[in-house]
Amino acid sequence: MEKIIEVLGLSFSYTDEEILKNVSFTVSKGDFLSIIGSNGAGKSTLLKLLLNIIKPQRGAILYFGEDIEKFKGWQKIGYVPQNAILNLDSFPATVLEIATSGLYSQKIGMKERKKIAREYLSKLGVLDLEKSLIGKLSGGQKQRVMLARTLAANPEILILDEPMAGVDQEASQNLYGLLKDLNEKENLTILMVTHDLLRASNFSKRVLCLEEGSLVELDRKQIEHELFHKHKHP
Amino acid sequence: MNIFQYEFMQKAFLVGMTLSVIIPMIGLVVVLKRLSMIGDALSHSSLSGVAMGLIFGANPIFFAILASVISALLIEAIRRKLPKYQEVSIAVVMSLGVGLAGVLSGFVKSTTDFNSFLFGSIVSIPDFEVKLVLGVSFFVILAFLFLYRELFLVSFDEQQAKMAGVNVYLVNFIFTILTAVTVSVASRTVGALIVSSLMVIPVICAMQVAKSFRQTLLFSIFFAAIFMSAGLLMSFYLPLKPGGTIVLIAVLVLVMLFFIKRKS
Repeated sequence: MEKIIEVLGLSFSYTDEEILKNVSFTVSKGDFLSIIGSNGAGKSTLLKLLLNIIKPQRGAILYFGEDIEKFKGWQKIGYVPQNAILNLDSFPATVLEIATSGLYSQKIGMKERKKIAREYLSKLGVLDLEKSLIGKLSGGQKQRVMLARTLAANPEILILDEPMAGVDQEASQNLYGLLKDLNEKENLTILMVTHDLLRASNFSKRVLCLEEGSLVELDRKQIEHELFHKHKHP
Repeated sequence: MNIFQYEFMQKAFLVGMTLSVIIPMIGLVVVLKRLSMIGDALSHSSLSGVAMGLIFGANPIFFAILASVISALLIEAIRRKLPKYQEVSIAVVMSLGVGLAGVLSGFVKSTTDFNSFLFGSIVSIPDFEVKLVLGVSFFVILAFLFLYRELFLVSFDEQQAKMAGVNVYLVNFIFTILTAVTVSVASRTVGALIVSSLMVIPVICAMQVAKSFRQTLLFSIFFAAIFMSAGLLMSFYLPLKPGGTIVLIAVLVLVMLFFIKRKS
């Protein structure tokens, strides 16, 4: 199966203490992989490395088999940051303006841009809000718009950083279901970073746990054990 | 009395309306990038250029543009080095600009000339400066329209803009130059101490009423034009300085809009 991301022996430290220790994993076409971990476990650092914002001390990251430093196909990577919906509160743009801006890299006219954006807004169930100011929407609606914006660019992989931050329980349940559908029905590859083990295990195909800088893949039994332990000692 | 029978008022309105287009254009991106104080920093830095120009007997605006561009590039460089402390870069450069301007102003022979840059002299603009404002404005408008989509994306999220294929470094560099040039030419007319208010307040007013990004831009220009015209008219009929009057009207309208919005 085509490897979309390969992380090979990645280590990173800001000071003497290593935040990531020899981390390796692969994301293949069609995967729905969740990386879980508590606050300070190194999730944000791992994402910054994956987005080439910071450089590792050791190890390598390959996108489609190409080293991240030489990789030019960032348009194939759909990224929804954690604070995306919080930053939208004061941004004076309509839902449609936000959605069409996601199609920047495509060499098509504005009419076609709007058509594609509307198609994805409709798919995500927010087309009726196209003329609304993004800041007026609820957390769940904003996240749907951000997903529509990202998906409209037709990415090969969706990288989501805490996608349900600021989204209420019911809306996040629906959004997780939607991500699962996109993965299963449209074979969209998803890499999600979250602290929500319960939902990550319910909706994704693989769960990796980042703890004290090391990454381990959890099997069903380990997930159940973790959830039971968490339930008893939340 | 028809105020347009006076040539100086014709020029003042021509320059004022032109600046009402470019200042909020730049201001919209500045506000959305949360760099509202950049206007202050650049206008204060431009004063050091003005002082230098006056000392050497050269055109102070050219030196103001030079000082402003260097300061803007310095802000951008510090901002890139310390992305978590963006406001620090502005504070450092503003302190440098004010310090230099303060020291250099001591060597300027005509304090009247220097003071005209502090609060502006929109009603006594020589023909050459009218042409300069028009030329610079044409260039700023053209560049802004050309980079409209890129500036939208960079204001929205720099990381996502970069991933979408925008050359964020180049766009920020060009925008920094546009900001510096706009601030410098506007300092001469509306005043270095006032230009940053005109960069921010019309945009904040527009954000209270606009229903889209495009509308926010258009309303920002509309509000700036209203403030500019009202300020010029009032200062003609009443013994008031135009620059200060323009800003006071802008603040008053902003407070009223906040009040109306809260009520509704």
